Amino acid sequence: MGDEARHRLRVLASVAIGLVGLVALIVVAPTGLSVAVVAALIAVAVVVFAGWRRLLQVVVVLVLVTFFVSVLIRLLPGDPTDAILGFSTPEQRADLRTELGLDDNVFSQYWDFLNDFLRGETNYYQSSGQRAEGTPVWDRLGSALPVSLLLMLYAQVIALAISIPLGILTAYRAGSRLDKSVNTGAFALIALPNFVLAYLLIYYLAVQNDFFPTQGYVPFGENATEHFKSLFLPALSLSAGLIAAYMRLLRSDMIQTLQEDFITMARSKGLTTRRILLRHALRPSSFTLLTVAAINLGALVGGVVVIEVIFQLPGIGLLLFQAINAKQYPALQTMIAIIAIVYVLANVVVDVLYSVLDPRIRHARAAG
Amino acid sequence: MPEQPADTLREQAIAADAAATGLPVDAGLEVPIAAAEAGTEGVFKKRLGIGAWVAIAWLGLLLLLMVFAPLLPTPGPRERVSGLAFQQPLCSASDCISGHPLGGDTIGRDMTARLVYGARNSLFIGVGAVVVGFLIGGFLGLVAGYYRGRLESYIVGFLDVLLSVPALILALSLAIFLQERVQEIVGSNEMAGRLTLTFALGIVAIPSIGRITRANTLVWAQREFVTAARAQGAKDSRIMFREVLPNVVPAMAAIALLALAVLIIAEAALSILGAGITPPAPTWGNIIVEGFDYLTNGRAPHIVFEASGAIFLTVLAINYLGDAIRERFDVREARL
Amino acid sequence: MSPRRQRKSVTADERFPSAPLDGPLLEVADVKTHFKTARGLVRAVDGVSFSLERGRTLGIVGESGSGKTVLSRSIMGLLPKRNVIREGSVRFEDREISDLSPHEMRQIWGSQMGMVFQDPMTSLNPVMRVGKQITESLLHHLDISKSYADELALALLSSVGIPEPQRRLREYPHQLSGGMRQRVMIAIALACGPKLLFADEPTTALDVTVQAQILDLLQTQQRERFMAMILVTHDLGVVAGRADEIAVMYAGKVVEKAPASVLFTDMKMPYTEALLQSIPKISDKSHTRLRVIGGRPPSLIDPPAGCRFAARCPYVQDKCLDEEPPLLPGSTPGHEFRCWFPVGTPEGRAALERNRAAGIAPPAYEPVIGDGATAPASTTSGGTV
Repeated sequence: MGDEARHRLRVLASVAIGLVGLVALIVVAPTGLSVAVVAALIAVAVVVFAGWRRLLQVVVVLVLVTFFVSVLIRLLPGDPTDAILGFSTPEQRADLRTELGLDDNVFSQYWDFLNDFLRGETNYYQSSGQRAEGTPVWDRLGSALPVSLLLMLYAQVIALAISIPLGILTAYRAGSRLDKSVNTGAFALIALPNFVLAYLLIYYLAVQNDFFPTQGYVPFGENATEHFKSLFLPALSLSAGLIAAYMRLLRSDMIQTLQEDFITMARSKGLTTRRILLRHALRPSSFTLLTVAAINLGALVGGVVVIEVIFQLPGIGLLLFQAINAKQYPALQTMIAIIAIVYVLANVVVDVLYSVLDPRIRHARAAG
Repeated sequence: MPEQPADTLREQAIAADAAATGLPVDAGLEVPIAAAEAGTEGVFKKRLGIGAWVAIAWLGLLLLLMVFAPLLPTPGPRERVSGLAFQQPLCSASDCISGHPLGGDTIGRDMTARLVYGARNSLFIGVGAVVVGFLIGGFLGLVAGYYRGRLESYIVGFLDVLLSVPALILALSLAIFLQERVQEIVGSNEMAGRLTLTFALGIVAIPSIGRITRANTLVWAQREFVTAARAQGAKDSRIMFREVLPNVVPAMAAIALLALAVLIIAEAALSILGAGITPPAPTWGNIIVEGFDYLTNGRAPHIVFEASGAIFLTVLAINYLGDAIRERFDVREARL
Repeated sequence: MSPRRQRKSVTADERFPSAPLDGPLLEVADVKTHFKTARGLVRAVDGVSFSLERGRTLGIVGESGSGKTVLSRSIMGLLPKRNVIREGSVRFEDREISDLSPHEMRQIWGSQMGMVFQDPMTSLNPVMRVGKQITESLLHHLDISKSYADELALALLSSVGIPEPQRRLREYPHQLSGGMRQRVMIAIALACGPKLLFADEPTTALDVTVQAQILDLLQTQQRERFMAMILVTHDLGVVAGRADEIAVMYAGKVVEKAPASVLFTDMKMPYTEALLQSIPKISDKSHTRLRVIGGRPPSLIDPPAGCRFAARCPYVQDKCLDEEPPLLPGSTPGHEFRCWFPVGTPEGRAALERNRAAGIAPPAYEPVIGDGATAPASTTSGGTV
């Protein structure tokens, strides 16, 4: 098998494993070992593709982040268990303290947290009867994550669907009136926070005219049309900022690419404009777009949280919000940790894709 | 070829992301032809355009209103005026109380007053966060870019870790968990809230500011006047602060403005999530939160829209200005 | 039917019934190309005319800024439309092509005319495999199957002298050496069998050792395919022995045009003489100062009233500053030049003497060996850069 083919296979295998792992994380409510299994699979994928060094980096980052997250509880003054449990007896609180490891030093607390986390046993606590009872966070997470991921996915799809043609068009017709007006529009769109856009959309499309539901979520299984309707306004609000940014980026990248010599050469071969734009100019220009799309995952996560609260979509953002209100700090910790982990891993996947698209990087990696 | 493609990838993306919020490619700069013989050049704008002046005007107005808030001919931000509740802006019907051009909020407070005092809080937090970000992030970036070597890799590593958490999540966590601790120290509810948010957002801003400062420092620290100063026996700290920093500052001014815009929006987002300043102290964010239900039932949408509009206009103005400045001064991080 | 379908059903030959074989392949008449820029109208090409027969090579020589690259792109029609003014007529196979629509031009590009660019590293798509870049052109213009296109690409790579062509097909440009990349570019340009090839500084970006190979390759291909070639370069050495006819360009105009042999032995334009003299010779002693032409080319936005070379010409007289010399025929047929006081004529010699005596001439041409240097530090050289 040729060098190329082998490399391709490795990349595909690791991406597949990574995706399978993420899906498992999402869909299957983890019990016991499965989190560890998923983690191991992902680790394998990272090593297979990116090498040990990258895996080490990722692990270090994840440890630091989760450690920080587990330390958060210690930042709270007084006795956090007061807040967590609300009305409760001192015994219940003492039990909780032991369970959370708050009486020990910070490292054994972290170790406890890690254990609980990996086994999927972090809980929501309520007082009832003699002891504090917990219901695992994972249960709720399992159903919440898909909603958030779908929202992010739709937002990216909408954003790319609108921004790529616009970007190509304005790059090709740079300097024209069309270009200038689109650019001004994009500039305004960037300054518009996603929640403001959400309010506008809600008011004009949901309150004044009944095109879309104001709030609430319908799962795909229940009713496909309603599902898309319920997610449309949220995804659109989220995508606005992305559209502007992607379009700008693609445009400036393509303008530069279109000035390159190989474009003139492609013209001199007599190829059609469409082919040149799509096959020759777009590909090199898409790299930065892809990386920005990845980096934007972070901003998108923030946006998802806000949008879910506004539209009352039962995703991880709303979960976060409810946990905040209920002062369920341990559960909060877990959720924050999970979000951070998914974010880090997603970035690794993007690096993989990036190297697939740009053969220069691929060969540099293989060489060095 | 970069030794660590992933690193450059991220830096490129951050730079590209920043660039993506830039002004449109300017008029007059038609796509130049490939043939170098023509010797064409783009038109370089040496003065700020009319848009920039409009932006400055708006920000100036805002500043004036904020500073002279107590002198405004409106009731205070917490005063309830009976009968004013839910009054529409520019209302002319017979049962409207005059002198309240922006209408009233849910419990009868004057919207103008709420918004102006809200501006005070929101901008205090925003500016404060930028200051915190620059003090820490800027310092780290300066040091990293000047000293290079292992110190630089540690600092960059630290910044990277901060960057690996999604920004809003980090801000949220800090805001929630720090709030009561700060309240313990500072006492009053309102000030504590402001400080918590300032620090939370400031910490979130550190990594981006740090990287950009480092990038700009790298460019300047390699110039010869630095070597010359060192040859004259000047101490490192002196060189850093007297020679390199003044050159880095103009570029950072633009970044500061853009960061301010982002943080104003972030404050509002945190309020929506319930981690912002609690009422009755007004911020643009919690005005929105208060008015949200009356947007969905259609009774008083103006509350949300006025506050949102204020945020939007301010952010637009800041973005415009920040870009105009950046186009003149900044170094493209991607080159490094 | 969409244009795409239409194209596939027609072969290249049917679209362009061959013009009578006895006419010139290319006739360029008074072509002007001006660019609208922020600083004014740049007259990059200001009235150039020539004609080219099938199978013959025209060398266009000039320093950077002379307009030679713009000329080749103008003729081929590859310039952007915005802010570019084109005048004059370009007839290819007795058909006017200067006013064709982009769609029609696209049928000519690649199949009738090809261009080899200067820097193969930037002219080849870095993220597309070499084979694909060749077959793309084939599949677009010819009605053939993909596998046949692949075979053709393989054959093309061999014919341009690339070893292990099978392997190279699947590689990317950055995996090849400079010389090989240029060969690939030539293969791409020749893929559909064009009747005219533009070679725009084809060897400038290459090692000296590879330059001769590439030029030989071009010549061989041209002979085998009976193709006309326009060789654009700043290096007289490149066209010596390889071009049938040479046109020397300066500041957007052709200042001398002659069959190659005539140009080298009987040049008339002082600029050509200066170019020739600035080529270092093997017979020179070591450490001979390089002869340069002092001064810089004139501005293309506001060209001087008289002869454009006047400011740097050792033969310059008052008449040169006031009146622009027209292109006049010389003694040999096919020789034209643009000068009031040409080299090798009594008027010219007298002019040179007058200038030397007055001490106002730009530095003399004679080699300065170990003498007090009189050449200024100016950098523009007419020969090898």
